[in-house]
Amino acid sequence: MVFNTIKFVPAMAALLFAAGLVQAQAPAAPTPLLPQPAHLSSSAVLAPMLGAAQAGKRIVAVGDYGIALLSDDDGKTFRQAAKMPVSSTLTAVSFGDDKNGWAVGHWGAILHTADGGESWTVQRLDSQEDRPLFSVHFFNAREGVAVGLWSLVLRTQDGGKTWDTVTMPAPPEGGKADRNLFKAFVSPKGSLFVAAERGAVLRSDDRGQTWRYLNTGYKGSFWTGLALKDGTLIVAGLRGSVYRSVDDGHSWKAVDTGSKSSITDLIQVDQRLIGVGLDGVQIESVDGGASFTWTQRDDRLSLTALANAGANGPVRFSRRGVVTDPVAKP
Amino acid sequence: MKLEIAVIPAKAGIPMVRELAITASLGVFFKITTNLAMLPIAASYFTFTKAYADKAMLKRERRARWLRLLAKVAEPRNALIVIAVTTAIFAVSVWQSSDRVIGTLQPGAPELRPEARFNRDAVAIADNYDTGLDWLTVVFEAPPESCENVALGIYQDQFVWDVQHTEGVLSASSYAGQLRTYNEGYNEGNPKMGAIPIDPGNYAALSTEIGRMRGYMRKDCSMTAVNLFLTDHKATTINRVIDKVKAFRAENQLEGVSIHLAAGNAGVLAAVNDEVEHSEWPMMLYVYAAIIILVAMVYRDFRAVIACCLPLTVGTFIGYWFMKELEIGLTVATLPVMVLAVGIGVDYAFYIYNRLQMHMAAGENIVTALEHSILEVGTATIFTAITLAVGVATWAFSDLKFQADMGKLLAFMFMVNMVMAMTALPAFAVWLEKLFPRKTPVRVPGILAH
Repeated sequence: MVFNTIKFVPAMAALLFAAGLVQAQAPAAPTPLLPQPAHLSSSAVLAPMLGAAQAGKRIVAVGDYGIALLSDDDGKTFRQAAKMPVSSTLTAVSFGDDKNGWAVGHWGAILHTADGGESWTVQRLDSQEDRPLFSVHFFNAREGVAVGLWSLVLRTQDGGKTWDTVTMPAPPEGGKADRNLFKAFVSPKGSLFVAAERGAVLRSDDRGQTWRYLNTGYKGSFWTGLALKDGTLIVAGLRGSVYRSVDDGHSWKAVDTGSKSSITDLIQVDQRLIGVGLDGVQIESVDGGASFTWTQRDDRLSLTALANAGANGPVRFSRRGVVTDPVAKP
Repeated sequence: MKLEIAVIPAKAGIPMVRELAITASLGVFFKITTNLAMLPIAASYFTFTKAYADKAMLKRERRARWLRLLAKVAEPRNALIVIAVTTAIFAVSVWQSSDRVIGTLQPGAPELRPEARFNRDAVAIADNYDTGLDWLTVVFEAPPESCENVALGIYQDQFVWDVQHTEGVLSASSYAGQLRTYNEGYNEGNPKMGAIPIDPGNYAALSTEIGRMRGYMRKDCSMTAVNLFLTDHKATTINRVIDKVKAFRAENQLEGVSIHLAAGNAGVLAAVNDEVEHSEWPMMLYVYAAIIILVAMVYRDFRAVIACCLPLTVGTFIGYWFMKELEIGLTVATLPVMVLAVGIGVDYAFYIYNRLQMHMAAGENIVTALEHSILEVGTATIFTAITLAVGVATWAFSDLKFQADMGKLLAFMFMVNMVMAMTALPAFAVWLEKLFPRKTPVRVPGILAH
């Protein structure tokens, strides 16, 4: 991130404070933060969604206010998960099998479902430290990795009963291991990749135990990444940047999409590679990411997540929840 | 008689209604002075020949011929039919008016007609943009120096989510929403960072920045605002949103933080509607109490009280029904109309009942006394009502919607009360005499025997 709020803003506040711009008075004792169950809402499909996954035939999406949406008809209709013990923002979801899934988000939350997303229980919550998790990947119903702010990496081998913090190596160009880790994804060979801040892609060949940094040559943030079925790796992020590797991550090449809007999610549907982003941008490639075409919605609604939905093409999610209008043709 | 009645709404809590009541009372005072003092004095200067008087009497008889038909209501059998019909109408109007609306019913400025340029523009703006012309501000009050209280932002954020998809809310703009936007903005615009930061230092720093903008908060976060933009300010819209706010407030509490309704033009309207709703019954009760007390004092007879007041009550409810059918909401403009209509309506009752008393005191039985009363004062009563109604009915053509509504409603109420006085009142009077025969002869109320 160019500016990291959590580092930058207190510093600025301290400056203001020193300059006497902020009045020095004892603040009221803060109310302790306790998780509240998500409110059931008749407008749940309009809640901003941030991550989506498939649980067998079902689509499960998670987002703001602890709302999880479930669809059993390839995304035509959604309903809100009945039992969600938190109302904080959820950013990503991953299923280890048809029933067992994990959602992660702000407050360092990790939630588990054993019934395909209907009801969830808290496995981890940390409201002392503002360190959100941005992505989660489960290899099966036991092994999984969750990643987040300032190189936070959590790993489980027992279906989330215990989560271990993985100590991350310092980046090769020096400094601390403080990159924000935005998206975990797996190649067909089983390697785990993480799209990260400052052009970094991290790689683990032992399911998240040890990591190394790959150099893409990019300086901005990668928000998302995807391994195609043929092993091609695609990472994408800020200002429409897309980088591609056809040699398992050894070398990377920038691909011009034509759009300058940040990409939030990628998905492969048969031979098509589809991405969505801010400002209502959608990119698409039919040659494995070597070239792209792009379209933009008239209302510039920021798109945030994608999920595979069988014959109907992908379901798209946005700041205003489930996108129901037909997919724009490039 | 009108004077006391008109003064009653002066007790209402709305200054506008109070002013109207005072003005109306002054008007009625002048009317009494002119009618009861100046008119007789002026008339005393005229001299008429016997022939002219006879001719005038004859003409009146001829004109009043059709009144004989109306006078048939005095026959007990006909009276019963009238009572039955009146009861049926009363029941229907009570039923029909049960869900009438407090406040305005149309979008746009309530003072103007829907087709007015301003109102057409207002609808166009609400349809095409997510800022309407009507907004409601909900204020979150917290202890002083609450800028590090993360729970406050989270509480408000949840509130905004719960309320903003209520039907009638176009969009919401809030302190909590700004916190999310700022947090996202400081993090490269990443949607996954569009959340309330839970680090108190970070939270406070963002609050300091938001505090530089107008309209969201007090600098120490002891007061933060949620601005809800509404599609319109129909009473139903405002009430729906207010109910939602109240429901949230009841179900979700945060220690030390209270949610206050409501500023913004829609908030003011909501408060006025609330006051109108609350003052309606007391005002009606005051008016009826005044009428009942005065009628009881003058006639010293419960039959008079019932015969005069029941038709008025029926008239009031028919008026409510009329309001609902014509989509006239109960507002500051129409509330005094309904109350004043009762005050004016009792006049017609007096015209008839006073004559009735005189004839009965002269020894006539109720049926004949009623027939005579109707024949003598019927023309005058109907003429008065029509004159008043025609006068105010012209307001219906006004470009100002509230004036048009008032005109329509007043005209209707004058006519309804007149019809009630000419039909229901005699019918009630006949049957009251039959059911409760008098033991003592009828006395003439001295002060009214002019």
